[in-house]
Amino acid sequence: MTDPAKNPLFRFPGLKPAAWLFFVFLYAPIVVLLALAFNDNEQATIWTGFSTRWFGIVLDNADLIRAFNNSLIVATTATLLATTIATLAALGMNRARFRGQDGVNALISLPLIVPEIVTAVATLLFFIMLGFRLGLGTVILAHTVFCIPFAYLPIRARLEGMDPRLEEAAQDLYANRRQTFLRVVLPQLWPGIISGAMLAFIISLDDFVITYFVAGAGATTLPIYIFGMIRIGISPEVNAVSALMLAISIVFVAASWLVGRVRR
Amino acid sequence: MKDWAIEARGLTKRFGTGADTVTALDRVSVTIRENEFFTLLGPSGCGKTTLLRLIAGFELPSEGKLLLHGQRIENLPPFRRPVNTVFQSYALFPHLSVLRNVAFGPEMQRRPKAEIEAEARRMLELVRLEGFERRLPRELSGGQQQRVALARALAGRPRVLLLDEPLSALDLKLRREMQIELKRLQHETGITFVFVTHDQEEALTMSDRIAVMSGGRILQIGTPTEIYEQPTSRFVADFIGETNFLDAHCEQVAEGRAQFRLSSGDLVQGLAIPGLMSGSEVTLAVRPERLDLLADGQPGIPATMQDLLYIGNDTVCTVALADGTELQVRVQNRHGAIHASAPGSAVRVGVEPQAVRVVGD
Ligand SMILES: Nc1ncnc2c1ncn2[C@@H]1O[C@H](COP(=O)(O)OP(=O)(O)OP(=O)(O)O)[C@@H](O)[C@H]1O
Ligand SMILES: [Mg+2]
Repeated sequence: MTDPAKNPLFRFPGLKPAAWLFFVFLYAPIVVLLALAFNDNEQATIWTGFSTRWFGIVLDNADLIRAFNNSLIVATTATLLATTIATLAALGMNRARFRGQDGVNALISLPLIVPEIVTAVATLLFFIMLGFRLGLGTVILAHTVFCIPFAYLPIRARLEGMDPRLEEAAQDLYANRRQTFLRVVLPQLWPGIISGAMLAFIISLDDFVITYFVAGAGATTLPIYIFGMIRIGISPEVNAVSALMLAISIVFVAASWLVGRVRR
Repeated sequence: MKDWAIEARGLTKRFGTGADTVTALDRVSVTIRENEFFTLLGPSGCGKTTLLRLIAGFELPSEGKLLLHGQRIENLPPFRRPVNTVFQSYALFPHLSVLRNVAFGPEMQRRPKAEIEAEARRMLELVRLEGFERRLPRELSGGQQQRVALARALAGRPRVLLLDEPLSALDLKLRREMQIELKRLQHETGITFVFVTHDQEEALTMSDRIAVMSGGRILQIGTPTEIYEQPTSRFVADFIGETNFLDAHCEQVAEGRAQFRLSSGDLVQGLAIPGLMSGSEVTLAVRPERLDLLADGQPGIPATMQDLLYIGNDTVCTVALADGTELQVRVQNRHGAIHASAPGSAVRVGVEPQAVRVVGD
């Protein structure tokens, strides 16, 4: 065996610096943000010394905690709803054969390419037309809808990779349709459902544009609160909040990765 | 009637609609006896899998009746039929251990807990996979997976076991072993086996009876000997083993015997089949190993040696009759055998009447 790195076929001049540039570009802002979260100075951009006091200030900020709670409520509810609907849609699309199926499939994924601002305006107008009162409910509703395609794609991919013979084998061995689903289909589908739910959760937690439009007073989520803070001025408090969110994301992803590994 | 495991009457299966309709099975009628090793044999696309899928209940027939032990089953879902399948691709549940795979059927049948475990272990023992209980299917070799699939299907205590080319993924040696195991299992369990293969040798060695299929129809059903020795159609004779086909004119029919004039002008004696009329044009099928190669001057059809193909135990000789019709003659290699004659030399071909079959098209 020859080392592929030494094979001239696989060597491209300039690949290394380009890769470095890419990673610097990607991660330098985040590293700076993290570092400044521990800055003692009031001015977020001037380093004077190490301190964790901003984290304390963040955790004492009742409005911010409320916004964070709202975000969690919205993301959790929207994820559960969207993942359930996406799973059912994927199952239906997988089993049925009907005319215009490709069209329906495209329609389900279309929201992924519609500019978010368009969806935001449309959703707002729609809610107003129906006479809905804007609040946490409308946010959850909107989030559920735009999370569906994100949850749908990995579940559908997983289903498509599944051997249809497995369902037949289960039925052949006396499992009725419900047992076939619970004992054979669902266990096969779990990894897809988990990735779908994770995607939906992160997308929802992170959403700003649509939320900004459809959230009434009292339904402030964390991204909207942070945006409000920034408008007043960049303080290390914002950095601390961002660092906390990053930590939560990492814990979340690592946990689901571990869950996935244990299941195997 | 009662000892028929499976009875199909005019079973037809069409796929698609309109101009794209494919008739995968065309009015198939067949009865399979209890505890029989019944084989469906035929070329790719002839409808073998479709017939199995209808029996298992994965597809519903377009027309026709299907009876299992005298009961109509064509509208029962698969999980209500006492029939289990060994899939061509095994279709083991990838998330379940070997033991849980095998226990799946008994669990769904809601048998007592202790019995489920015992049954699964017994089946694994039967297919000689003790010690593999906790492995996952992907941690097994192809042959082992195949045996798990077999154990899983048997643990469901089927009255009929359907096997769709279960040995096709195995190498020759393992295949031979599994053929013997399958026969042993069928013997020990007393279950009716419906076996699909397109390997004629496998079909001949393992089956009690064979159905030869082509284009969605069953052409002939019979014991391996019947199928091989008395093919009724050109297709069957051609599909199983090597065969010489000769165009001939039937000169006379009497007392079960018939006399044929070959296109070369030579006369041969053969067995008559019902409905054979003198004066008709027929096709004769003769197996190469049923012909004798004789020295020039002896009684037989005069021919010229064309070609010799040495294949170890036998030699396959190609000879030409007076009008150039080529004929294959297979002779055993024994000391001093006549086939040692060089290409171009004159020989005689001996034809015994029992070897000559009239086949339809
Ligand atoms: N679901 C389906 N839709 C349309 N046509 C089908 C379907 N299943 C089978 N066919 C067609 O029916 C015919 C018989 O197929 P079948 O699978 O029974 O063949 P087979 O004898 O098992 O062949 P092989 O030896 O290759 O497995 C084929 O022409 C096939 O294309
Ligand atoms: Mg097949």
